Amino acid sequence: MTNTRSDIIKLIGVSKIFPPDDAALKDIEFSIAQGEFIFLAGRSGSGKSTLLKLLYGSETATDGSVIVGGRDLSNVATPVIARLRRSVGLVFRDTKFIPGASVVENVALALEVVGVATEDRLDAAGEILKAFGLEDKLYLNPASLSSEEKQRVGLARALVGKPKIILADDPSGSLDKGSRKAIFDILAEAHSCGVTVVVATSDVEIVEEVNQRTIVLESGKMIGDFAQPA
Amino acid sequence: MSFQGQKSILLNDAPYEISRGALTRYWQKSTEEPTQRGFFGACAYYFSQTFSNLLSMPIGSSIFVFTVTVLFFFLGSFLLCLQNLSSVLSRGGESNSLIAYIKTDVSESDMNLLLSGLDSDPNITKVDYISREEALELFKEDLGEGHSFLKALDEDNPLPASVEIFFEKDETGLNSTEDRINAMANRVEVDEVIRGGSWSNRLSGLIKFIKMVGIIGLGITFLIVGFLANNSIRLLMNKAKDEREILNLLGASKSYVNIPFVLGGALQGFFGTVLGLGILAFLYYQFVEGYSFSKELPFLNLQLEFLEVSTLFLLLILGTLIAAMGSYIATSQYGDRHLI
Ligand SMILES: Nc1ncnc2c1ncn2[C@@H]1O[C@H](COP(=O)(O)OP(=O)(O)OP(=O)(O)O)[C@@H](O)[C@H]1O
Ligand SMILES: [Mg+2]
Repeated sequence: MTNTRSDIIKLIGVSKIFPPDDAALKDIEFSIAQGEFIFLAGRSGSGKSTLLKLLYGSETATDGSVIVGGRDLSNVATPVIARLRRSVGLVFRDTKFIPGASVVENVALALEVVGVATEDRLDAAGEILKAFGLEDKLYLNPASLSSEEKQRVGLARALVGKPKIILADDPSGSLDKGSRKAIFDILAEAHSCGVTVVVATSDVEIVEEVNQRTIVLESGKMIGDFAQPA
Repeated sequence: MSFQGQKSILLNDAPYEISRGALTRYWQKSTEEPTQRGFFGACAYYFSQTFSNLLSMPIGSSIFVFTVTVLFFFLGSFLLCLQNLSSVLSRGGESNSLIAYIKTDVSESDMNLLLSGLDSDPNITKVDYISREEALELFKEDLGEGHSFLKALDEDNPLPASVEIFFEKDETGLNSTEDRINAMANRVEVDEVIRGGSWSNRLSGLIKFIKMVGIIGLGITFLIVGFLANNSIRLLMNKAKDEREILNLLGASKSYVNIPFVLGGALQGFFGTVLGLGILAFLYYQFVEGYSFSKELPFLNLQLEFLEVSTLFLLLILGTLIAAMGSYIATSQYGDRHLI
């Protein structure tokens, strides 16, 4: 990390208190440079998901500033957040799909909301699914896929629009070790393409294996920011 | 601190199922902007989304459409009756008149003054004065001579004098007759005023009442339609909860997510209205049109007419709009967890 890299995400004195007085995050402060790969690690209930929700505008901070892509999310209108989400790929532990639509249609959905014409978006979706080894699953119902395949489809949907940021909330939480690796391979390759990748996980093993900058949360407090070893 | 890149990220143990570099190739491939679907593409999207929403709950959607159909069938029938009734009544009303009963203690000179005043009113076409004596004569004629109690009436005539006043045919409506009646009733010489002339004038109060009921019926119908649309769309949104959330997390705006639902309500309202009025029109032209009712109601001289095209259009637009409004309210009330 050098000074020439600009911060794409910056949190200043961020707290989140759920009513009445459940402090999920307390005085969080860090920044993420563009193109960084970073873990949010911590035990269950430590506040990882809440922190990610602040980053994609699903929750607002009770205190402090959450700045993503140069915009302070605590005082922007909802259309701005919608636009921000178009340049952010989201992946979850159990990624949801539209059950009535095929795999390729589900992936194309990410381009549909930005108004890409049908043919172009289906082409792009097919292409990225092929890149992820799913070329023979394009027309299946997502419900019929294995957990790993679902996560790959989820990643395809998150990446098909070439976002600047990937926010992944426990993306390997429901996977076995081999599948977990497949998912982190994709995240690593996205990173190598210049995408800023933020992964929340409680899996210490994966944090060690991947070996990148890690912010550790405990009961809503930031108890460490471990840089990637040189 | 150096940024070492991806090498250390990759996990150590193979085998790889995914060919590495494929994503990189996807990323680097085309930098040109993809084609945008444009306005018509967007409309096509909204409509196809709308239909797939409606078809996701075929029974619920049908029930709503069917209810609107029934409501508009009855509303249309009601308006049809009302329209024909008031046209019959206005055709029957060739003249407007009222009868003012004069107080018994009014002197002859006061009476003459009143009559000459009425004669000089340009809106009054005719004035028929019936004195107390004439009234008694008419009464006797009606009953036939020879009744012993009529002798008693000769000594103490209980009948009042009356003036029947005929007005110019009133094209503007029924209010002015009302005004005239009030004006007459306020005069000191006048005891009581009733509507005179043809029977239709006496029904003007009834017409007014029916019209009021019509307006209330219209209001209630629209309220029910709006309320039902609201409920129907809420159910649809609840069914599409995950889909709405997915779209929203992908960066779809609230209106992008909601438009298909408002459109869905509007379409259901539209179809319900078309069906209701269509069935009414079918039944009317099949069974009622051309039937004269001359046997049943010989005095009416009925010439039935179906609702005007403009009325039908107005009902159609209103039905659609109200359903859209109910749906719009549903979308703004519905609380999605992640929706921004
Ligand atoms: N909507 C909410 N309302 C109230 N409390 C909440 C809400 N969301 C989260 N919390 C609380 O905030 C704290 C942090 O929750 P969070 O989901 O962020 O944890 P986490 O680190 O993601 O856990 P996990 O690893 O199990 O996903 C918890 O105590 C949780 O109960
Ligand atoms: Mg979590």
